[in-house]
Amino acid sequence: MTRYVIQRLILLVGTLVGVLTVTFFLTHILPGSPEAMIIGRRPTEDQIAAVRHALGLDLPLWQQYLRFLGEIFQGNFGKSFLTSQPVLQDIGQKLMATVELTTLAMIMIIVIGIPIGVLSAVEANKPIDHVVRTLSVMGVALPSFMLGMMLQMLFYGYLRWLPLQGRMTSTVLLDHPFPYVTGLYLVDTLLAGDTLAFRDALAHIVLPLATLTLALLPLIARTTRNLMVEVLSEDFVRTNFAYGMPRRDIYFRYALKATLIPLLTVIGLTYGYLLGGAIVAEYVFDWPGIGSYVVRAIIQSDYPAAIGVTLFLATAYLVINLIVDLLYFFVDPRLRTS
Amino acid sequence: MFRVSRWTAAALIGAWSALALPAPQALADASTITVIDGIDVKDWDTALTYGHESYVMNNIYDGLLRYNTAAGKLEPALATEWSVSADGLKWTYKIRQGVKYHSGEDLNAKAIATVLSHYIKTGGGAHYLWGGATVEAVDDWTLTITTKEALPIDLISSGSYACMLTSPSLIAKGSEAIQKGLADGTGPYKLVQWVPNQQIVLERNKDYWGGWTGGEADRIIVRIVSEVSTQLQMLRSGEADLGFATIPFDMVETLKKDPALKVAVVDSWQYLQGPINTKKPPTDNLKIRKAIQHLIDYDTITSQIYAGLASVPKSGTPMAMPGAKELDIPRFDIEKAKQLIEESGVPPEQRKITWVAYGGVDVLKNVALLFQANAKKAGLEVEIVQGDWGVMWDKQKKIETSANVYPYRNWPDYATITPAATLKTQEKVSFNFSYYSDPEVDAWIDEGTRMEAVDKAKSSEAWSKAYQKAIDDGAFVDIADTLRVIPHRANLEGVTTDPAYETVFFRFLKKKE
Repeated sequence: MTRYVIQRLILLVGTLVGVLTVTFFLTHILPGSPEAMIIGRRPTEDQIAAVRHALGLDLPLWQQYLRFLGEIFQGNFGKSFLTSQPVLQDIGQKLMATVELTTLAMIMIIVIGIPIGVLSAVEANKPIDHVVRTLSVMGVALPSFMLGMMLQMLFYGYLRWLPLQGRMTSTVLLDHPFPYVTGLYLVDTLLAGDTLAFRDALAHIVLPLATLTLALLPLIARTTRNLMVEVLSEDFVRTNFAYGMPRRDIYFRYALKATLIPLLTVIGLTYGYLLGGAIVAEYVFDWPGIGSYVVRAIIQSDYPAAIGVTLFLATAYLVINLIVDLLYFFVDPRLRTS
Repeated sequence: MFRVSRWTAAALIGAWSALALPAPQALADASTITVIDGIDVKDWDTALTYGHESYVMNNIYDGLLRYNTAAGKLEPALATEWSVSADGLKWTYKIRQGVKYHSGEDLNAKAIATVLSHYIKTGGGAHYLWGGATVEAVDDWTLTITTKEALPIDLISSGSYACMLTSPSLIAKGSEAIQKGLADGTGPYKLVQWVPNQQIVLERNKDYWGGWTGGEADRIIVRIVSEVSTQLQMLRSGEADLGFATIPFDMVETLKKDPALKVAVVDSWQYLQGPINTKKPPTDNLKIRKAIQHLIDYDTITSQIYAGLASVPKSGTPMAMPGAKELDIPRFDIEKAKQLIEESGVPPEQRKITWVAYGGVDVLKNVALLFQANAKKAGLEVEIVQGDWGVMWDKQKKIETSANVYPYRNWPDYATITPAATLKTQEKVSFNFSYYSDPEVDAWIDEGTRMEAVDKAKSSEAWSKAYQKAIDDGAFVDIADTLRVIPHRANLEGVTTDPAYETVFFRFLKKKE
């Protein structure tokens, strides 16, 4: 297994260098004028020349590439043209906002989606199954920006139960300072023992969390259902029934366990997708995460930010996949012995 | 089949209790005003600031002078008096006494000389406008600024970007540290918090040299809200008091109908200018260029596309700008355009031009589509080219990739109508998108620039001649002079803007209960 992990890590580094190379050349070959973004309004030719020189943009492309690789290996991703802040710092700040939202969404999706999938499989082709399948199709078909806006209209505009946007109320953010320990507001406010700030952060996360959860829950529920339907027709399940074992044990301890390998793959891919794909929810709810950052970076040719986020997301995706692959060893004893 | 265990029930009850959440963001009290905008501050370092953040910075920092557009004249700010030598090369300022920076540091001529010299030396942002001037403190309260050639230092020192006076001690901290969100000005509000991409909080500077009349906000919260519909929802609910971001023109009438809101429509120095490429076929032909000028349907553009929030151009720059003179502008006339195209000698198969509509801006796209439809009637085919501003700008600077017409939103950096950047001969094109070059026009532009320091009337006369000649040569067409729209809560008073400063002055805002 150690050898397997080492092989995967070497492959991971190779993939990342490939991603870096492709991203570098794509961002540098496409037309654009980052100087205007850095300097502002109406740069003079002298200012443009100075900025181009400072960024090395006046060098041949291959020299820029070597310089870029050197900088990256020293951990220097440069400064964002749009925010003027170091890219790593930007990513660090925005990452935790995204991690907080997507991790909670993933937990909700698993906690709700898997039981629904199991229920649907157990009740296959019965009314409950039809309802679940219909709702799943509707959930998949409804664009998440639409869902987000509908939730905003209902819970903010009409019922006035929940806040509209952001991570925290302005005055709470100002008057209830809490130490930035993890960057996860829910955790940091709890650590600070500030219940008001915690409740405020919780209120702010509900709608974007619901949007993400409702958008991706059908995928897990349907996958679980289909896998379970297959497993429930297996001999060992019938044997369990014949022995008179409790139904809940059969479904959740034995049958569900048999679906875990493909299910873990889907969950891993979904989480990886969520890290970079929460863009719409982040935009609609002004959630200051990595999704909205990367969109602006790409649209406005903010090379350092676009490259930094691409590298980060590629790494996250590969690491999540590696973790999922390693989890197979724990889930399936046959893999450990082979 | 499924039983809800006690643990599950407890968890559900716990979750429900936690979700007994506070009501949506409590409406701020009278002493707090919430402003919403879509773009965060990019450069806190005033040596670099040259972007959208001026709406925040102009409430933290003061310049030496202020330009009062209503009165059409300069007013004292951190300088109380100023004068210029006869040759226009040496400016003397008397500095206001008793002013302190937000940090408590004293303001004096030496501090200003240090700061301005730093700006001029680094040359970032709009500080190139100072032209490498030398700044010296003669004594504690007298400052001299000496330039190599005559420059309108009085106007530059009143500009929105070129003279945000910070403290020497802040500069000593270095750009890197300042960019993390530090500010130290003498303005009416001081920075107390910046949470990137979330909010900026300003607190009233009780010792502001300009004084307070009572009832002003103690705290200004600027929320960064990217989605326009979200901004409007926040305004409607009362969660925000004023919206600074651009709202779609077609929303204005709807907003006006809401009794809880008001929409301030104010003058602007922004205008939609359309340079016509004089070097690229077929617009290298004067008659084709003249035809394009006659194909601009000003009335439809201003009344429909801008929904009445723009006026028909009468000069080379908006008439709201100091020194702008009414000029002879070709009017919309499709028949005339048709005739000019026929007379141009350009074969019918070559009567095709490219027109840029950058940045996905609806107004620019609609103007392009309207022009395309009118041009078709006159026998001119129009291809609309779209792309991000940076990309399109980069292309326009190279003749081989440039478009025939490049409409873009233009505005001055200070109270000037100078056409130096747009119409003067440029070896390397930066903003002369029409590739226009005329010795007579160059001479008038130079004359205007020389005179701007000492005789502004003569300066604007020279520049107006340059504009008229360029219009006659079909080098550009002004498409619309735009107004600014600022929606706010009906109970918010004192929404004061100035086209010279792309901002709302927070110090005049008062919220009635």
